[in-house]
Amino acid sequence: MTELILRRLGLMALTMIIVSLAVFWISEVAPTDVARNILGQYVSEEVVAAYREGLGLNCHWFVRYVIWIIGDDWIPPARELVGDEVLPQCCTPERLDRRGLIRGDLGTSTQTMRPLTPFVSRRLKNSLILAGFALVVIIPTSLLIGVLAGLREGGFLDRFISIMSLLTVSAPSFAIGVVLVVIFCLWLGWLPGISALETEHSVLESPSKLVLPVLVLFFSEVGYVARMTRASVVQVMRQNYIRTAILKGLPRRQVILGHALRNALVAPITVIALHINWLIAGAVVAETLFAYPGIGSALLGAAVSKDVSMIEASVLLMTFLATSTQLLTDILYTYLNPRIRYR
Amino acid sequence: MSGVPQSQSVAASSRVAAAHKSRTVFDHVRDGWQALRGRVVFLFESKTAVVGLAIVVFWIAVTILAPVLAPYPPNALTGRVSESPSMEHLMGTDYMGRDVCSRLVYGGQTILLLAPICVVCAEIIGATVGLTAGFLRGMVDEVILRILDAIMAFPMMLLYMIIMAATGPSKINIVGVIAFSSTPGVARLMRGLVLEIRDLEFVQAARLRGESALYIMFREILPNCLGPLIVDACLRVGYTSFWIGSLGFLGIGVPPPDPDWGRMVSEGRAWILTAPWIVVCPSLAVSSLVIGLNLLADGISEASKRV
Repeated sequence: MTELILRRLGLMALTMIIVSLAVFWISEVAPTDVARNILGQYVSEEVVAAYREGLGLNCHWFVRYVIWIIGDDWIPPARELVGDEVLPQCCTPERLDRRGLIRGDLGTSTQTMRPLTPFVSRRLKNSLILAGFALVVIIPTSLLIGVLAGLREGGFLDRFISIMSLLTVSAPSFAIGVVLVVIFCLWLGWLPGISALETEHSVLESPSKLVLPVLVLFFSEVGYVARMTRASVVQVMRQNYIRTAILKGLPRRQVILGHALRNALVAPITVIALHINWLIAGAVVAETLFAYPGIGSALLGAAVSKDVSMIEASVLLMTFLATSTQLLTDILYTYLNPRIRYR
Repeated sequence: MSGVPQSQSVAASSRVAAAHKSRTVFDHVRDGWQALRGRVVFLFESKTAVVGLAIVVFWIAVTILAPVLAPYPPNALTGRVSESPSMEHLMGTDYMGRDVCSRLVYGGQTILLLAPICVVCAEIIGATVGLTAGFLRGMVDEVILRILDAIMAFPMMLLYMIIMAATGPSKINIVGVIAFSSTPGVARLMRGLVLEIRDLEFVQAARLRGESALYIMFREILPNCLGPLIVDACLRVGYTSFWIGSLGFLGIGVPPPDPDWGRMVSEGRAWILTAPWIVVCPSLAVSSLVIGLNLLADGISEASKRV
């Protein structure tokens, strides 16, 4: 088991390196002129050249990539020791104070010129709160719905749940969100339609602002998970050992709780966590719809305003979260399914 | 679709033996029509497939006949602002005075044009990659699997954002990113199917005959995998429409002025209190299209299990 974990950690590190290279390459290397992209069409050449100097874009791209990872505050002491050949002055920006990704410094926003780390960590905290509440609501409910549907296969409840799952899976999250806003904000007036917050306030101070975004995420996931759970329960109930348990005379309740569920729930739990990529995209839509200050809407704003360092930092962060969740899921699945453990 | 894999070369040689007289164009057309009728009749055995097919065909027809069906041009200001549905404007007008029904009819063109293209690209590339990995096995298989895992680990929305920030939103970017992100799923599906089929006797017979690897992959194995691939393709067109609609809603999809269902919802949000039809009609349109595609996929897999 330890060997498996170490191997998966190594693969994850490799994936992150490849992803960081890809992100850096697409954002800063592939476009012909990053500075021109940021400043726009109507700026003169001298301004663009000065901007490039200021950002340190004249270095070779690999040097810039390594500096992004390990920072450039080691350069002035290195220059004093070794001389100016370490990195020529024309190639590095004027202020050498970045500590690099490895040490937790996400850089400075190219649009607002303010440090990114406090901004991103605040937004990330909000998104994690939203995702946490959403998972707490989604997992028990959808598993319960799926189990109920699977146990009464072919019955009215099963058909009803199947149809509702199909409808919610097919409706895009923005459509669901719009319908929910119409019902709960306009007709009933129970919940606020906007979830924007003051900068320093936490969302937990006004929990009613969380309800609608969580509901949107819930409806977009519950159909899929419920269907998977139902299929898994149906398949387990057809197994021979269930028939044996019933024939042995065990009460139905014990058959279900003691034997069927333990086997049926393994697959949906892993499916939930593997679906995390879908959840990230759904979160972007939900956050934009309700103006919730999370990392998804921050990324959208950065993409639209071409804030290169913000895009790089947040994409890398979100990918890291996605891959680490997948790693945890794999470990959980290996733990729950003994057949894989000893492979 | 028969569940039993058949050797294409055996079937082909029996056809050659049976049809000694020369075949005219007429014969080919009749054969094609018979095959199509066989497929359609098979499809009608499942009620879900019928409903799904009806919805999908409805939207395709509406989109193709858009210039004929739409009462007004989509970008023309033809009515008063935010007029409720009436006899002149079946779904009312939007916040600028444009007819919602015409914009709906034209707006489908983006999704119904781009989604199948994305899926066809993904299926072709994914099937080829999956065939190669599954058939050749060994080192090639391992390397391809790792690359596919790395691609799947990366959320597509993020990839689209980076590319969009670097090169701006456009149809080619959308098609490229969605096709790229869907390829690993198709490739894994294909690889699983190939692993089941490659050990069957007719494949071994083909190998003994000395057929080249390409021939075995594309003429022996691939035709037997078409069933699940088609079901997967239907589902994927649904998900892709979903994505394109969401990207349009976020404002980073196909650039204006083409009417796009997602962007109609996003722009009409401010008027949701006074003119909800601006937002509700495109939402229902996208939902019904995806529901139709899901039902079609469910129906096809149901019907092929019954055969």
